[in-house]
Amino acid sequence: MRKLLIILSIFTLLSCASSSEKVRYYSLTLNETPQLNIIQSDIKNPVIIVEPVILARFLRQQGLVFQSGNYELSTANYNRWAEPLEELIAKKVVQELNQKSSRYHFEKQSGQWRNNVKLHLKLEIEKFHATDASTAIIAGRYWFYEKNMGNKTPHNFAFSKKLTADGYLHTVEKLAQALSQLSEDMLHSISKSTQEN
Amino acid sequence: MNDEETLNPAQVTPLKTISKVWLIPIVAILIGSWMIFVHFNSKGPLIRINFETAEGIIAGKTKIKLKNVDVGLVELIELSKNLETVIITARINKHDINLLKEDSQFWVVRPRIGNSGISGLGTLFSGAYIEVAPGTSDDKNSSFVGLENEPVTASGTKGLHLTLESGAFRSLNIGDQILFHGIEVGRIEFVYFNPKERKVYYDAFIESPYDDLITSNTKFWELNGFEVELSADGIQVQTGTLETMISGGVSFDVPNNMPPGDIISERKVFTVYPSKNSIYENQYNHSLQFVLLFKDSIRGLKPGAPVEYRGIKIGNVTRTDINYPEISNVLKKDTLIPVMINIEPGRMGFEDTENILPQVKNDLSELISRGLRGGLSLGNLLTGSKYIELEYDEGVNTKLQYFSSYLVIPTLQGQFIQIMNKISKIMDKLYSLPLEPVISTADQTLKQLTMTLQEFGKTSRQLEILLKQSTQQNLVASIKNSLEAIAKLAVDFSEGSLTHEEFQNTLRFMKKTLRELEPLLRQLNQKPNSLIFSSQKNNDVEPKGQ
Repeated sequence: MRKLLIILSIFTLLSCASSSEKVRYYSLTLNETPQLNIIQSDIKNPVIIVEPVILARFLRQQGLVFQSGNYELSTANYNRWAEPLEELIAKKVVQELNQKSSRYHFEKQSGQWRNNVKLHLKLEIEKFHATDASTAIIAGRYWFYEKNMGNKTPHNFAFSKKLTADGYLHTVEKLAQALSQLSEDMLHSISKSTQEN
Repeated sequence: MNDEETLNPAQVTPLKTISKVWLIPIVAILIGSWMIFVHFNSKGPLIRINFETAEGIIAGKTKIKLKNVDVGLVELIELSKNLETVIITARINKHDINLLKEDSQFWVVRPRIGNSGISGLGTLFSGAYIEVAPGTSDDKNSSFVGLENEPVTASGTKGLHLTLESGAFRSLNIGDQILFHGIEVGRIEFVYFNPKERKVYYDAFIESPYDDLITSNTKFWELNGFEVELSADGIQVQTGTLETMISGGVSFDVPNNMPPGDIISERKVFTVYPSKNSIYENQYNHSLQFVLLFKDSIRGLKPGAPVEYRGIKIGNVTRTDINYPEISNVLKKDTLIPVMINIEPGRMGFEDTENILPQVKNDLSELISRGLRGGLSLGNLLTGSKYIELEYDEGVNTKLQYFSSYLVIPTLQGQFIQIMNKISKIMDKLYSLPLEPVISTADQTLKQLTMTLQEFGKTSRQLEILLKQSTQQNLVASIKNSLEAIAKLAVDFSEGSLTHEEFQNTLRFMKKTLRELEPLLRQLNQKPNSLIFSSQKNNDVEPKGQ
């Protein structure tokens, strides 16, 4: 009798199980050539360390976020980030900055750059999603600072890219483009501040 | 008819009786006489009253009254022959003739304001009148001396008349109250000052039945209105009645330590003491006089100051002057200043009688020869007043001495003076000490001590430094070891180390696992039974392109 009950339970579970939909994972840097490890002695430029990115709370989840209307957000269950979003953003920003800048070298980690670090970059992301207005938006602020100096001048940013196709894949592409635009803005501000000093 | 008839002559017969016509005037005369007789018969006697002034008295109008009943009328006002008084002739009603006793009193009632209040206001409208107080004497009189004021005590009032004598500076007045325990029992009726005796005599009247309170041991004292007593129990304030506070008065009682005494029924002389307390000071009638001869100043000692033995008052100082034949020049160096004292045997436990005095004197003489001495003591620090204190100088026998026929009590220096002398001796000794070499030696010693202390300070500081260094060295070694251990531990966990890598990998795995579980947890949060019963799967909202 006990065996019969167990078998029946298993069948019940199996029959109730539904097939799950296929889950999609996205990254921001798949199309980029990964950087080889760079040895400190090879770098002559001043190093700017990119601090870990600070995300808004609703972005700290695996699913991509979609904004409906002005106040409603929804998280996708089957469209997810391949890695933690803050890491993806940090990688992307570092890549973009290194590609665009010849004066500085940007790195995520500060372990081996102890002696050559000029500045630190801190980035806060408040928006990183698509909207029902067919846009992909990123917004937040960043600032450069020297350690132990305490000078922090924040720069606010907000970039919006129009979606020309449906789906999350296109959204991710646009978000990546927005990050590229952000990195340009960062370089511009750092060069401006250098000139002022 | 015959003309020649002759007429018979008339026969004239004289009347043998008075004519009845005369009845009328006779009756009239009789009636008139009767009226005159009755008129004069009903008139009362005339009396003469001497007053100092006739103010307010009108002849034919001013009445004589007794208890507001008319008893007479003033008929004539004239000056006396010596022009010093006014003689008022008044007629008293016949049926009131019994009022005219030898001690009857007459006075004019006018509006008056006195200590007892306002009186005679009714005379403002009706005019002054003469009041009579009938006397009690059996003899009659028709000539009186009028009183200027209403008598304090009405004539005939039952009670006791007393004579009070006082040598006090302040005198009492006619009408002042006599109180017993605050109750008015009598008044001062008359005041007389005897310049020869320098005493004032008061005629006092105590009303019945309070006259039974007057005994042979009764003491009278003046009420000053306000008495303040400062003692160990604190401050006591006693006041009299309002009237006594304004005008004064007398009170009486038997002192606590005396028997009631025999009731007085006739006039007797009593002394008025200045205050109640002074009664107890002067309650003894017999005393012995002694003299104390002082070498030191007696400043602060006054007549009346107490003489005490072990705190008990046994007498008082009577004289502090130098009017003795033995003293010719007080400025002489060896002149002793005499002080006369009274010692009252009654205060010492003996009877207050004259018979006991010789025995007491012998006893005191014996005590003096065995060492009884007198000395000045300070009574009050504030006022500086002094008193005489008797005490024994043990082991001293003295021969009796006399000064101006008074037995001398040898003197000791007073406590205060002894203390002052001791202090003076100490000061002299201090002054005679060779202080300068001592001071210079002490100065040098202090300097050396200071230098020694400074050296000691230096040494202690150096020692402290040494101690610190050794402590610091130990501390440094300990810290160094701790730091090395921490560094080693840090190396094990530092970036690049195996432990660090494993730790990082574990963290990443946990993060990844949690991320994987996140949708499931959200689903279970929304629908806990979704594990068994499948929930409707909503497709993701896809962003749309333009």
